[in-house]
Amino acid sequence: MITVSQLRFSYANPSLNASTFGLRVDALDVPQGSSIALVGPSGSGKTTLLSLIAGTLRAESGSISVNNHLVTDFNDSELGRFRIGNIGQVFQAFELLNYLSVTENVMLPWFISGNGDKAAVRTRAVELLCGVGLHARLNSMPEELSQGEQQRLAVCRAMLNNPPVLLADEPTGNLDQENKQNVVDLLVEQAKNNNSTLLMVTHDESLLARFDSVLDMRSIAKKPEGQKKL
Amino acid sequence: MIYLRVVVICLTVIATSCDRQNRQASSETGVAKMQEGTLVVTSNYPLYFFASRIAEGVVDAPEIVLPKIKGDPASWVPSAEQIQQLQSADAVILNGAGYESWLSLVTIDQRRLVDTSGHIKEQLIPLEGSLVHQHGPGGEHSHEGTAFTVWLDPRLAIVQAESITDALIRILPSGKTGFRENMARLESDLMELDASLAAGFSRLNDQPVLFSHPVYQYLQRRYELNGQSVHWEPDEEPSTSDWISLQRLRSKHTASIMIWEGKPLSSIAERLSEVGIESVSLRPLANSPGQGDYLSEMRADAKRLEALLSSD
Amino acid sequence: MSGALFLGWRYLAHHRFKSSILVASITLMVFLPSATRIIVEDSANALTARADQTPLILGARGSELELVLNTLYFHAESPATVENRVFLEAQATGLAEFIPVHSLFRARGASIVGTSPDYFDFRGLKIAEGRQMGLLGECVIGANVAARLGLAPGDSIVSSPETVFDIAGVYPLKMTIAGVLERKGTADDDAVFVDVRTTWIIQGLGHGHTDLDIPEAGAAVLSRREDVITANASLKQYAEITPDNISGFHFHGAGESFPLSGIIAVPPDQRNGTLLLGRYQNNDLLQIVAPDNVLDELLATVFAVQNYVILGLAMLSLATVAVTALVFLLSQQLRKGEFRTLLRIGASRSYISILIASELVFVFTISVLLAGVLTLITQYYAVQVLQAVLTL
Repeated sequence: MITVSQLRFSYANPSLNASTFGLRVDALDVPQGSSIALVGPSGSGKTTLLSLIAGTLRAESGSISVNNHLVTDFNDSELGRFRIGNIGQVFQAFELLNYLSVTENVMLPWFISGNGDKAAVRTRAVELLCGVGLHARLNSMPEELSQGEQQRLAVCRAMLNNPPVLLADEPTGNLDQENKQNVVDLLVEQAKNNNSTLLMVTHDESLLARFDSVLDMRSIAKKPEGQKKL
Repeated sequence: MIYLRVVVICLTVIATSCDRQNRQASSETGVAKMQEGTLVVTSNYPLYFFASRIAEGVVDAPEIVLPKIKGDPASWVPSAEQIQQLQSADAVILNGAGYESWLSLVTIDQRRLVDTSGHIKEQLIPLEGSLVHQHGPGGEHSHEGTAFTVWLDPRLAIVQAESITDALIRILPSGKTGFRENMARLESDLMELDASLAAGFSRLNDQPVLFSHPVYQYLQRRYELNGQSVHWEPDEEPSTSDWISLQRLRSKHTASIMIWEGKPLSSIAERLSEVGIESVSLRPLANSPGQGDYLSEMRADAKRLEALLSSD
Repeated sequence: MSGALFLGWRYLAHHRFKSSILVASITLMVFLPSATRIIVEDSANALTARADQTPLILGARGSELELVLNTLYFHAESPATVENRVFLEAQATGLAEFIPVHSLFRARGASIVGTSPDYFDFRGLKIAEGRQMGLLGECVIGANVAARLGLAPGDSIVSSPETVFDIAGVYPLKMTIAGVLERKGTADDDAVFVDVRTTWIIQGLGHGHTDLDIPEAGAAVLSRREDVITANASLKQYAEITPDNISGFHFHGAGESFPLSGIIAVPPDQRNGTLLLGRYQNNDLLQIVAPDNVLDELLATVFAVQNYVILGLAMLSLATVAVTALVFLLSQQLRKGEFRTLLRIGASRSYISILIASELVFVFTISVLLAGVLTLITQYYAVQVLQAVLTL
């Protein structure tokens, strides 16, 4: 479950006009286990909101609660640890490490945290990869995979620690139509199987039907005032 | 299976290193010097006899060895194994006087060599009529030089034996007394032989004699013999030209005795007898006689000589 | 922590070309100065050790260095020769043990060293395979010669002709290998040892031919008068000494005039050594030198050159460090995206620092280890390389 309250954020770049590039969300409640498509025009703050929830950006004021943890109260290292265990992320540009194999890329969160038994983590990674049809690519390098396969790999990485929250920022942006649908189906399915909350940014309207609900940034984000409740 | 392979490899390695060590040990110590103790090698039978007599019964005395030589030791070329034996010996007893032609062909530590003629160089007899040849820019040269049957003069043989005694004392100083005692006994025996030969030859009264081969120079000088040499072998029939040469020689040198290196063929002896020349052998014994020893055989020859000369 | 090290290692392994160049540069930077020092010091020690073992060398007056290098290392540049008479006269003095050395010829790249059996005791040389040389024409070869040419006891080696056109001069002699010496780590490993008389045969001062006094020699006989036989040019001379023809070998001329390149003198004590030095001090034709003194002068020059070389290498190292640092910085720039991904997934800034540092640590560790291995190899082979150079 994600709860946002009186969130205020602006980019700390003096060359930018703060009133144009800031974000204000008075209230947002995302139930646990729901899949939400986050839509809105460019610049409406979709990526910013995801970053604030993940903790990679710091709000100036307000609170963000993820699974009853106030992420706005964490320091940097607490945020990092929290993110690895609780928030799985899928990026538009896949962001795989080209010097690790497919299996090792899935295990990347473990290489960072070191939590858990390596063999058990490897087994989990292999299971995830087999589940998305990459059983024959376990030792391949990312550059040997197609784009669809790379994004499926990224989804597996995000799911390694069974995170309660899945954040996906335009994960289908670089894919063809068929792969778009496959990846979205995969994300929704993984979220459902794990009872994770999925929050996915997308511009593609053909994908919206797969989600429990669609959240338009214009309805929740005010610049500067606004409140919306689902 | 893998353990068996490891064991086989280990055994092979061990066996190879043992073999290498054995070969090394053999090379270092020399083929013949397998026994403990010291070794003395002699270059002919008389020297071997003298050395054996001098070393006899002395505790820890060196082993005295005469290499197996086929034929005349004067023309011996040692084999590789024999050279190793010479190289590993504590002393190599040489006759000297150019006897050991192999010495210029062999690599050997000069410090081990004992030249038993070294102290009597002024008494050595130069050879006449050496064959001279010339080729290239080096000029004329010959391959002969000095008569080398030094031991046939018993007094010179005693000097040789003294050199051997000194060499043995250097090797085993603690055996000095024993060596000197043995030397004294040997000297006595050689003087007795000298007296026996002198008595026999005295019956010649300066009569001419013939020698079958030019190897009796020291004997001739010692007993003041009026002798001339031919080049006849006891086991080879002389050619017609040899008989003619003999006849020509006899016209100037009316010898009635020919002294041989060995027992001549009966056909030769008979034909010589027909022309009034009796044959008698006085063997130089440069190589082992096969029966008896140097002294016993020399005494026997001396007796036969005296018997022949007495009957004349 | 271990995760960061693992990622660091995988990064290096994936970018092999860049990693190899970095490792190679740093390895060379560490190895070259130490190798220079090792080669120079080990070489100096080897030179001085051999010189220290050799008390005095007697030879023809001339270049002391040439005399020492030829006698100790069988250097191809041979000094003027002395007559064997000098050796015999020196021996007669009883002031020292004298060992003749004749090192003027070569066989398949190795020096032919004519000497006496004393040389082997003097240098502590032992037979590893086969036996000591016995007959003239036999040789024992050093361990390196055997290995290089694939030779063993029973094989043969032919001396190299000095000139193709000097038909009456030095001609090739086929020498039978009697034994192979144990490796000693000295110049003796690279030599072919023969009896000094064998080298005189190679030089044409002795030879073997068919007996001229037999009927079969008829075609080779030019004239015969009384007891003098003169042979013509068709007389066949043996190019190899065998047990069958060795009796026919002989020398022409007086052996006392035959040449030696040097004479090693081993006096039993300092008194005799001083007497020897005094004996030849004012001799116009001969000189007697102490090899360690001669080589000390040479080494002083070598050490001076070494310092310049190391200075040059140090400056090169600075440049290498600068370039290496630049490469690392550029590498981090290129990896910014990767670091951002790691941070977004949950890595801390210290994790990223460890990741960057691990690349440095791995590269330097591998380089230092490699440099260490190369240094050990250099230490093992330095002396042999020097000897090979000295015997050229």
